[in-house]
Amino acid sequence: MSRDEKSAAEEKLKEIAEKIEKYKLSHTPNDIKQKNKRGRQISIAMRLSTELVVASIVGAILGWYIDKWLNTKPIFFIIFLLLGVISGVKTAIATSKQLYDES
Amino acid sequence: MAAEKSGAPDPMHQFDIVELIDIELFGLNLSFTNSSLFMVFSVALIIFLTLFSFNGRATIPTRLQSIAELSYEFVAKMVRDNVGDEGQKYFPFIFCLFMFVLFCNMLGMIPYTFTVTSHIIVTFALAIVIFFGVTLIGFIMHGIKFFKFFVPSGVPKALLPLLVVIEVISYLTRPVSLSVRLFANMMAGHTMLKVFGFFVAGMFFSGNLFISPLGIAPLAFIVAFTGLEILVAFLQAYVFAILTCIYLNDSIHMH
Repeated sequence: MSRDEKSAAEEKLKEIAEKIEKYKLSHTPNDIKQKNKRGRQISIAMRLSTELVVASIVGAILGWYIDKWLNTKPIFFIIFLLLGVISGVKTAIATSKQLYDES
Repeated sequence: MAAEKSGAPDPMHQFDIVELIDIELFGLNLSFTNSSLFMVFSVALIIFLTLFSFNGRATIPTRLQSIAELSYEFVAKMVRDNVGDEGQKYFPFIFCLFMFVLFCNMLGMIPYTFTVTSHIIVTFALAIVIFFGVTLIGFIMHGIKFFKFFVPSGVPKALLPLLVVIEVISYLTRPVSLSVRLFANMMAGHTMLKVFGFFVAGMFFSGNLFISPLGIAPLAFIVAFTGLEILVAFLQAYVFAILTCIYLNDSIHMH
């Protein structure tokens, strides 16, 4: 099988997969579709809380160890705690954007 | 179920690690614990499901075959949607991961069993493997260019040092948040179930005519909460697998 034939076959396969997907979607009752969507939304919402909290903790631990290493208590602890909070909020915003894309 | 010594109910007793077979190798405690036992259980169940359900290979699948096919399709779709065609290579890993977490969670829902995923060291071990694996894949595919992942585009140069540090922190947060989420959800749910279980027992057997019938309230709560816990058990396995897909996608395609 040459490369052209192979890519043509792959193209065909993709087309069929899309057709099957479309057919499935048109034959799924609306309430099941709604339920599937809600499941995905809950899964995204569950990520929000931990991402917010854990990022600041990771930042704090990083800062703590940098302080220990450089003997500069507590400058880096404070700086990295703040940076951790910022990165947590940043991740949470990115995650909640997904939530809006879903709905 | 309650702590035997003090007589007071102890909802954390269910998470105790019990050494079943003592093994010590090279000064390390490698004992076979109840945690290992339930890991073996879940792996055995997964092997049973995936190998023996296809024995008949029927066109009209049996119930067991249906379950196996559904779980395959579910994970395959997840990988295809989140990583794309390049991700198909990693499908076996993500399938194993999803099934392992799912079965550990679900086995834990059966009374008197041990929930493997309620220990952070287990979930963290899984998450750190994913973290290093995904980082390695990124470096193999993009070489030194993978460092660009930490440099957001279209940002004034003065802010760059600050933003790079923030990006690195949020990258390092990934394995921790991945493991903490699974562990915290499982542990919190099981503790809650136990606490309300003590309420039911305590109220029913209080010997007080007025309080005993009221024990039906926490019982009703437990029934509803068990349903929610089963949903959480599935959802957490799903979240674990889908986040692995998202991280994999980030390191394959960058952004």
